[in-house]
Amino acid sequence: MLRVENLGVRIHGETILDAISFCVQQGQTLCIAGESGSGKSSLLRALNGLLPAEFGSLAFHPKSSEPTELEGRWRGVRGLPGSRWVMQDPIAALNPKLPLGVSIGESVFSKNLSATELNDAVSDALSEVELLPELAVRRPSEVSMGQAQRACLARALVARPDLIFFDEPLSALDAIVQKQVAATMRRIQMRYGTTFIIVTHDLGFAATYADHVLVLRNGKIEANQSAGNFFRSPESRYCEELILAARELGGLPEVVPAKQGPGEARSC
Amino acid sequence: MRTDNKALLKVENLSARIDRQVVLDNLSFEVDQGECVAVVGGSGAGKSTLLRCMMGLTRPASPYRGSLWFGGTERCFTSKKQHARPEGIAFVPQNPDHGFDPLKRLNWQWRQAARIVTGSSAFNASQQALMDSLGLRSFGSSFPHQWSRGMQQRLLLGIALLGKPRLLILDEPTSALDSLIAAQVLRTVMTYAQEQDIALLIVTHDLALAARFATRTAIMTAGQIVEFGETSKLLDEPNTAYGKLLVSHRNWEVAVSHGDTVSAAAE
Repeated sequence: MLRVENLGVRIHGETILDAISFCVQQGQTLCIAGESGSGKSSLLRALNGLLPAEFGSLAFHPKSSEPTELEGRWRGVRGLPGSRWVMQDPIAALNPKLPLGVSIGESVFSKNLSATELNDAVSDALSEVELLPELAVRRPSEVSMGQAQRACLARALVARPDLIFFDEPLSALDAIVQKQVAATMRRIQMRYGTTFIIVTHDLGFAATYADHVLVLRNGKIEANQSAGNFFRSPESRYCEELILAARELGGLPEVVPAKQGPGEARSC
Repeated sequence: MRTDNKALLKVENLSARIDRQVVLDNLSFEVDQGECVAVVGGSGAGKSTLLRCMMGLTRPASPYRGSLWFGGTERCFTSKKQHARPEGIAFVPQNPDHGFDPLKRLNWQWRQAARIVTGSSAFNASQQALMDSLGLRSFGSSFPHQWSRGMQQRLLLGIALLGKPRLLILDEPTSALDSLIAAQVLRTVMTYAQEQDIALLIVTHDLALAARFATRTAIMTAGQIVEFGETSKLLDEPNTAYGKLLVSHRNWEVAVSHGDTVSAAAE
């Protein structure tokens, strides 16, 4: 559903990303991994028009909204229509002055819903992410990090997007809450068939949830494989090192579990 | 049980509070010589407060009971006079950003640290040997941001090891680093600690990490140590509800099947 070819980003003559091509199928999870400074977040920003990017071509065909097809330079657009973004730090991503419910409701501002419809949509989204509807009146400072991140997820979800971008969605959370939020994300994906593009440096997470893994290094693609292949036989020496390091830290299961999902792993 | 004469550090009945709120409640644990102990707990469990108390910092949480026994000397947490941390304990912060002054050259920061622990800011052969063993190059005139984060973290480690500590405290050694660098840093620490017989105290929220490295593990929640014992035993049969939750959420694949049922209980 999303196909990107030959994406490049140059800032002040310095090449940040070079010749990035990949595609994602509907309902699949793409994990973008790599060391810090490798351009993971820049790629996400470029896809959302926040960095001056040069596309060979970009084609985005969501189920429920207009397709987007781009070529050449793109900048300053408010993201891809039909997609939403969940940030790394939930407290920074939410307006500290607004109750969570209002923040979540703003996400569907453009749909001109009536007050009751909006309320229903917000409490639906909250229960979808396993939060109590009462939390809608709380401010970000009055909830835990895990709850705030769930609220961010609800904010993305309320617009029923076909594609959600996640930028390190779990790294601000502690080990238990990480796994619970991840399970919630998984359930939502199973239910709505939403496509996830997740930036992460946790290979344990990628091993469990990804259909496809994209590894970046110094702005170039180091590996672009299905998750199973990646963890069994990585494309390059560097990826092997990456996997070994994760194993050494104890974060990676010895046997990578086979993942069953709505979209079975297809290569593209 | 271990015999007491091997113990290097003992914290007994430590309690601390911020204003009237008790944030640490009757904590006791110990670290043997050359041992690696992990303290595991979720966010808000009081892990960092515990560290701050051990380092002699009394704000925002001030200890009101308990004592710290380290290498033969005992210190009361409540005594006003001895706020300085005990000699022989070194600390590596979570994040290089918290450990360096971004506006001062590394060379200067190293010399300051050396002056404080050894009394002389001259760069000598043993310091060079330490740098070499950590795989660090010479500073030149670089600032912290000109080094990669892995290098910065290793340099922080070097600064911590300058004073030849007997206990090294690592606060969340992996959370700010990506896995390649984290593994590299930890490998360096482990080798060095084994060579020099340095005890390690790793504070983390990740039980998988503790299971990998620590011989004994303390599980903290809500300001209390609910379990303390051999890591392998603790992983096999945790006794408390929180311990069980932590153990069942240790690895990613387990969370997929259990995540839905327990998520409401934990938050």
